[in-house]
Amino acid sequence: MKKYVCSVCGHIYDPAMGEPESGIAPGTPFEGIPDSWRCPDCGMDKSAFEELSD
Amino acid sequence: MKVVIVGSGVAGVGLAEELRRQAPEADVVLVTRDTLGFYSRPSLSHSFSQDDSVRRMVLKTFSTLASAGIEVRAGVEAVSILRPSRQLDVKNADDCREQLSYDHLVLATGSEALVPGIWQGGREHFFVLNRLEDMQAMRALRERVATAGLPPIHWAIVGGGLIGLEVASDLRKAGDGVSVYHAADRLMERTLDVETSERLLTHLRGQGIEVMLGQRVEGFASNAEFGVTVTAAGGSRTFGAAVVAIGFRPRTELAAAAGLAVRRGIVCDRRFATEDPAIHAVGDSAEVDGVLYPFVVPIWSQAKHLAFLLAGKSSAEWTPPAFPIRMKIHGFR
Repeated sequence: MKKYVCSVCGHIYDPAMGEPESGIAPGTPFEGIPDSWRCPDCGMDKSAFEELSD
Repeated sequence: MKVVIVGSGVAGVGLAEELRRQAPEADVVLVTRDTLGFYSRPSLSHSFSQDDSVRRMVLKTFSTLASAGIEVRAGVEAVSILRPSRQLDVKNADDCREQLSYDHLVLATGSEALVPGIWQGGREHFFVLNRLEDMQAMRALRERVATAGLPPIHWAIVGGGLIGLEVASDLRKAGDGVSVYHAADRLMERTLDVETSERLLTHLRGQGIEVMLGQRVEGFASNAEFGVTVTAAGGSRTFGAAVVAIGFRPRTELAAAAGLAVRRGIVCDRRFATEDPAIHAVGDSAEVDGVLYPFVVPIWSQAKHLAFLLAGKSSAEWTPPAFPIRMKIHGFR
């Protein structure tokens, strides 16, 4: 599963870790996160995230 | 159409990238004194306990932006605005002056750390956290201490607001000693209610952070043997290093020197126009209809909105999006 990075603050979403603090279980692919979710660091919505290339 | 943008933070870069999409025919010039690229502003206050696997600091290099069709002038200082001829006078890295013509000039000059005049005399004795270079200097000091096998640094953090407490929490998590000086009698008094302030105080003390309330810092002095001496009402104490984080000050000098109205920020309307219709302001430096919006979400929204206005695809006034203010205090919610 691909990692994603917030293009504004650099927060990395790692599907293996999920985001337990905002209710995203480990193993959730980025596409499986609800659209209402916000970057836990800067508050941007999912559209600010880009696939991590390396 | 030629758009010259001053500043490469969230506002300047967000605008440049959106303009590339919305106005492909426009020339977009990004003037910035930065040389390290577009970096994460929100992370500056909490990048000590995390490594690069969970966080990126430099998000886009300037060559990445250049290959997207943005003319990046890095390491360049905007000196003055020549309004009658619609030119921006700049000083290049080699000290050469140049005048850049514009149809639209956008001031996205951001803000700097607020340092009151009484502390300026001791300015070399403390850090601020405003630019990537500031954070790198703090990281370098921590690394030198670790490499020399010395005990962890004990930091004085001056300012019990959002940024000061994020830094305090993160340095503590990274294993350093932390003492917070706060002038008011409770933490984050402008943002939090009394009860939450109290809960936060208990939480921070529980993490081993010393918090001193009602302690206005009078000055900083170097200590011959070790670090910095901080003087406050309660007396003088010596620390390994100090950080001042008591607020921000929008960079408005360029606008003011050009005769544009400036209050806390550069005065502009809800279409980001100053009184000169060819000059706009967005981001930390912009006072939009009387209000500053020093947070990522509204600033990103301002940048997108202005791109649509400049591209002629919208004439609407901007309304701020809803945005939560997030506190990055480890273990606190």
